[in-house]
Amino acid sequence: MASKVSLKKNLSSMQVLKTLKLLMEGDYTMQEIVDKLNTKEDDVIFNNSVISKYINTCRSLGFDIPKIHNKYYIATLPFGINISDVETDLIKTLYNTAKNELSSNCFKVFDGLVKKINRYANKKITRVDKDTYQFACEIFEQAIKRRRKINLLFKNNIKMDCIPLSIVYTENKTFFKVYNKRERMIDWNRLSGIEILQESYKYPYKNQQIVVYALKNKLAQRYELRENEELKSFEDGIKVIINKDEPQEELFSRLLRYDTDCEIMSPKFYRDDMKQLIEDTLANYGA
Amino acid sequence: MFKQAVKSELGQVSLTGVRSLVLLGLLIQAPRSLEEIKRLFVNLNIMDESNSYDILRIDINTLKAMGCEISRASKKTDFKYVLEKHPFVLKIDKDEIDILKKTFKKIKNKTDIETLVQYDELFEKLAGCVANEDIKQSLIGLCSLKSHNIEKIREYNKYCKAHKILTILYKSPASNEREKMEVATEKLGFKNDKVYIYGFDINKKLAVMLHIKRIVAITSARENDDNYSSEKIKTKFILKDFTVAGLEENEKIIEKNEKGYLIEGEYHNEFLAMQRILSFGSSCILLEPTDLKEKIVETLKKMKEIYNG
Repeated sequence: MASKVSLKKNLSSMQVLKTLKLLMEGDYTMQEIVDKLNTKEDDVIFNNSVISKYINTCRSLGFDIPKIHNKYYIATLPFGINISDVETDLIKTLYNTAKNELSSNCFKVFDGLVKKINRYANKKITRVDKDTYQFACEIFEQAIKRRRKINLLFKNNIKMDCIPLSIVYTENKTFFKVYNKRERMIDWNRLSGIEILQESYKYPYKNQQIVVYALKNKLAQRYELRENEELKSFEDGIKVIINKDEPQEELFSRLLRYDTDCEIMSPKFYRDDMKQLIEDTLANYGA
Repeated sequence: MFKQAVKSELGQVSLTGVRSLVLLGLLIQAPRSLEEIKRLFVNLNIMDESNSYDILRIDINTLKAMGCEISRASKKTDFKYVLEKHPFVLKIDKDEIDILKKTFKKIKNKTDIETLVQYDELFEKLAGCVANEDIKQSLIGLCSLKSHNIEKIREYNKYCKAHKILTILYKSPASNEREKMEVATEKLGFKNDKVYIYGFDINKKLAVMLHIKRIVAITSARENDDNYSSEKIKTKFILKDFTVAGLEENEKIIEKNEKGYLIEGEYHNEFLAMQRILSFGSSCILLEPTDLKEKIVETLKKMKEIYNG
């Protein structure tokens, strides 16, 4: 007959391991973790409080498990795979070859393999808040240096894959300047997380965003150019200004103030964005 | 692998959970005896010296209950617990290995040696992360240079990149005799699962491809001050389709017309050009150079003869 010790196991330990195993399979919210773990038990034994404790147990040993968008992500495991940038590029080459040269069924299998490897690979992902702000900036700069794309996770649950360009500090705010179809200035306050993706980018992106706008009437007369601006022309009472590199949100906010005395001339997407902004604002009033 | 626990913080976590996770990590690293585990646990502040080994036995049972396969500590295992399998490991299926193999096959002949070394390192790393021995061996089997001395490859690659002239003692494949050659190196290439030094034999005035496993010794290396190099064989051919193979890095599509793709290829020597053109079979029509075209026709005729006989 087996001794008592040989049969004994520790339930709390098992629950910690079950929690870890689940998180290694996917990114889940607290509720999802509780629900998923309890479905496999005879009784309800998992709740928010114990799950928090179990996640903290993992964290205390150096498992990096940030909570972003209310979901828990496993960023690094002490026994995870460290995939270098060079190796990431090799996997990418294989992935593209499978995608372009194998049948769709084969590619599906390959895609599954890459996803599996990614789950076990230690990642650079961080929550963005006041406590982690410095680290988020470091991650962003690391991505620029390593020429890796990033995934920005917004507080409103939107995700955006983009190219990191620079961090722009203004008097009151910090912006992450990124490229996604066009250059964008993202106020870090809008973010809940940043993840460095494995995908690299090769194209040199022009870092400077030039916006041309026109001012008329009295505003044109009295407007004083800012440090980042130059005068393109001043004819027939219309002042055309070239603005360089001003965070879009700040520029829009300022130009809205100039109401009908101001018109964005280029680039077209800035005109479109401004139009949309005006329409959205109007919609607030049911107009 | 793990950081030392701060005793004051242990109240906020599951101590037994901490022990299980650490134990898992330690066993993933290497087989361990109970004494070793206890010593490491004590060092990490997660066990007291006075605690009995039974605590560790329970931790081992816990891992087993979670699906870990841990062999008994016996004389055979040097009284160490060996983690054979565990559910926290990267699991790669046979199907996935097969597709990985297919995919890698598509690119490995077009890949330079340095990158092939990197692929080998990647496959070895993945092999180190899987538990299943067959899968592990399959991943190692993917390494193209596994039968080669990587250090030698790196050394030869350095010479080739610097286009050095090497004095080589080479075991000729024709005679199996050792011969001394002076070769102006051009590149280190991978072809048909073999690594070759591509270069120019400055005494015989011939483009050569030396299988590195036949190199007995390199007795000297000097600068290529006279800029010796082999003359490449330039070809133009029509490829009706790409069903046979993709293009090599030394081939490019010039145009696409109703007949297929007009391709320009540049080969290290006539032999390689011939091999390549023939390998396309009926999908390929060589247009230039005329003398090679004649040789291809001649060769094909001879081949036909074989089947006629």
